[in-house]
Amino acid sequence: MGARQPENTRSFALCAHGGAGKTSLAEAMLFCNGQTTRMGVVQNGNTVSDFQSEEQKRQISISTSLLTLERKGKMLFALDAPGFADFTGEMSAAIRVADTAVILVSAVGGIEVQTSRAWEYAEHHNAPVTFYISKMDRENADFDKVLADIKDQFSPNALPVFLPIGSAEKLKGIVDVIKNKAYLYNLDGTGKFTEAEVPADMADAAAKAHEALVEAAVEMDDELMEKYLEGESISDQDFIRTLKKAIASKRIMPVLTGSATQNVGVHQMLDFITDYFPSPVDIGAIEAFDGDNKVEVLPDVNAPFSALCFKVMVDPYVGKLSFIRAYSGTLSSEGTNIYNVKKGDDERISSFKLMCGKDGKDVKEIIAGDIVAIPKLQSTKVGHTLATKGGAGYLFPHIEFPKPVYSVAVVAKTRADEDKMGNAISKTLEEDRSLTFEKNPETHDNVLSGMGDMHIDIVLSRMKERYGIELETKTPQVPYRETIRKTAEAQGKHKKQSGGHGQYGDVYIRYSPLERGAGFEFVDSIKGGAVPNNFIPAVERTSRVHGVRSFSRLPGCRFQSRIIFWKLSRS
Amino acid sequence: MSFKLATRLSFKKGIMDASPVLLEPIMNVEVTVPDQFMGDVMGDFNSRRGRIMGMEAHGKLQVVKAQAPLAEMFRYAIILRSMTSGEGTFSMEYSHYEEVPADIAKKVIAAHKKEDEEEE
Repeated sequence: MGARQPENTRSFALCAHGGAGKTSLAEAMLFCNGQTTRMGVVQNGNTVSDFQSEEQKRQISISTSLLTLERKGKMLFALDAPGFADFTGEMSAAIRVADTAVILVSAVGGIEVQTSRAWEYAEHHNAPVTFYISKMDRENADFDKVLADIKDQFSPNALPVFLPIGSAEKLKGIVDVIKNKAYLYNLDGTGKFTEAEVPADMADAAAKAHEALVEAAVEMDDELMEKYLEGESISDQDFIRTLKKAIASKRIMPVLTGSATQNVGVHQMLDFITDYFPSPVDIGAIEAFDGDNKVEVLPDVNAPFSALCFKVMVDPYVGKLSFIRAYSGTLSSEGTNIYNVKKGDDERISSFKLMCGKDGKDVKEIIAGDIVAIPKLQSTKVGHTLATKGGAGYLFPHIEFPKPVYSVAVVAKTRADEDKMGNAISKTLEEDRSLTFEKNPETHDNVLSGMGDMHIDIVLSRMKERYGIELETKTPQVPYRETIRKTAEAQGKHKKQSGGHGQYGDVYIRYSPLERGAGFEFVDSIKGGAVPNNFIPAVERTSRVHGVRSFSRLPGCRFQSRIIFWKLSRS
Repeated sequence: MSFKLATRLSFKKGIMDASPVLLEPIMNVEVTVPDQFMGDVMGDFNSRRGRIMGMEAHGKLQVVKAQAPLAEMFRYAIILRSMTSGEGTFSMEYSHYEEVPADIAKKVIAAHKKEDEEEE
C-alpha cells in the first residue's frame, strides 16, 4: 500500500433513529464505490452490514458494522451503528472512535428520539457533525421542514451543501452548492447521473446557500474575514481551505441529502466525505492518561503505536474479532506483538483485517487513524488501550456504556443447557457491554440485565442460535425479608417413641426484635451447664436456617431478631 | 435431630406470636423526561406505591426523584418508554428495606403458599 498517511483517512459513524436508512446508505456507498455489484435491501436481508441472522430476521441493525472503502487514494472507514434505543451504547462507542458523526434524519419522519440522542453523543464526544436528510424519494418528504427543525433543535450551524431537486416521485437529483452544479439521476437505483447546470428555479436558493457557507467559512481566517467584509470576492481555494476548517471545528455542520434506496446523490456524498471530512490530522490531539497525567496523543505515524478497542465480536466460526481504532504510530502484523496496556498482556497478532461487514481483507500495516479488526486477541476487551511493549504507556479514557435498566431471571430449559449457560453468557457479555449478569445471592435467581425487552430477546435468541442453549425468562423474584415487631416465647416439643430409638426434644425460645440492620443473633442463656452443650449448636443452626409460616419458602428471608435460648430440657 | 424438629416447632409458634412482618426492598429511582410527560410519570408512580421525593428542571427536561418498591419496577423500562414515546430515561438503585403493606403481604404469602403446594 506504500506509505499511507493519516491525512488520507476519513472515518465516520452513521447514526440515527431506527429505520432512518443508515444501513441502506452504507449499502449504496459500497455499490457506488464499485465494491459490490448489486445493492442489497434491508427488507431482503442481504445488505453487507446487517449480516447477523438476528439482524436479517428483524430488519434492523443490532451491532455496529465496519465498512472500509477506498476512494481517490483515500481510506474511508464507515461505522454503521444501530439506531434502536436498546443499542445506544453501540452508537455512543461508534461516535467516540469515528472522526465525524453523520446524523441521518428522515425527510419523512423528521427528528426522532434517537436522532436527539445521536446529537447528544456527538456533543459529548465533541465530534464534528454532518447531517444527511434521507429518503427524499418518499412520499411526503419535506427537506425544508426537516432542515428548519435541525437548525432549531440542534444548531444554527447546520448549513445545506446539497439541495434536493424535486421530492418524492419527482426527485430528479441534487444540487451541490459548493460546486454550483446539478447532478441529475434516473430513479432506477443504478446510480448513473449526469452533471448539469443548476435548474433556473433553484439558482437563487443555491446562491443563498453558497453565500451562507462562505460567510461561515471565512470566520476561520481573520484576514479573509476582513476581505470578505470589505466586499472582496473570496477565491475558491481560500473558500475550500476555510470550509474544511469550519467543518472540523463545528462552525459549519454540512447538511447533505439524497436517497439511498434510489441511489441518488450518493456519489456526490462520497466525494464530499473524501474532500471535506476532517482527517485524523485535522481532528488533532486526543486525550489520554498516564497515571493521573493528561497526555495528548497526536496522529503521528512515527510516534509509538497506540489504539483503542471499541468492539468485540465473537463469531462461532471465525472466533473472536477485536475492533480497534489506531490513534498514533504504525504497526506491522509481521513478527510483532500487541501489548494490552490495561492488562499488561502481550499478544501475538496474526493479521489486521480491513472489514466490510462480515468479510475482512488482510493488511500488513496499520497507521494512526485506521479502524480495523484483529482476530484472536484473548485478553483484549472493549475500552482497553493497545500499544507495543515498552512503547506508549498511557491509557485512553474508558468507553462508557449506559447502565442496564431492564432485568429478567433466566432459567435453563434442560440440564444440558444449564451446563453450557455459564460459557455462553460470558462470551455474550464480552461482545455486549450494555449487558450484565449476576446471581442474586438472596433469591438465587440468575439475573440478566439489558437495555430493554428487545435487547434481552435478541441476546437470548442469539445464544440459542450460536451455542444451542435455550433459556426461559421469568420476572426476577423480589428478595423479601422478614422481621418481628415484638417479643414472644414458644416451646417446641418433639416426641417419637413408637419403635426403635425413642426421640425426644423440648426447647424454649424467646424471640425478640433487634434494631434495624442488626441481622441475626443467637444467645445461649443456659446457666451452669444445666443442659449438655452438644445439643445447643443443633438448635442454633436450625433457627438460623428456618423462616416461618409461608415465608419459610421465600428465598433469602432474614430475621432481624434476637433468639434467646431459653430453656432446654430432656427427660 | 429431635432438637432440630423441636426448634422448628417452637419457631412456627413463637414467630407468629411476635407479630411477624414482611420487608421488601425500596429503590431510589431517578427519571428524566421532557416537561410534557411529567404528569404521566408522577401519576404512574402513585399507582406503583411510589413516593415522589423531589423534582429538578434541567433545561427542557425534568428530573423526577422518587422511591418505589422493587416489586413494582421490573417492567419500568418498557412502561416508561411507551409512556414517553421513548424520550424518558431512568436509573435505579437500592435504597433500603421497608415493611410491605398488609394487603400486599397477604398476596405475596398466598402466592408462595400456592407455589409450595404445587411443588409438593
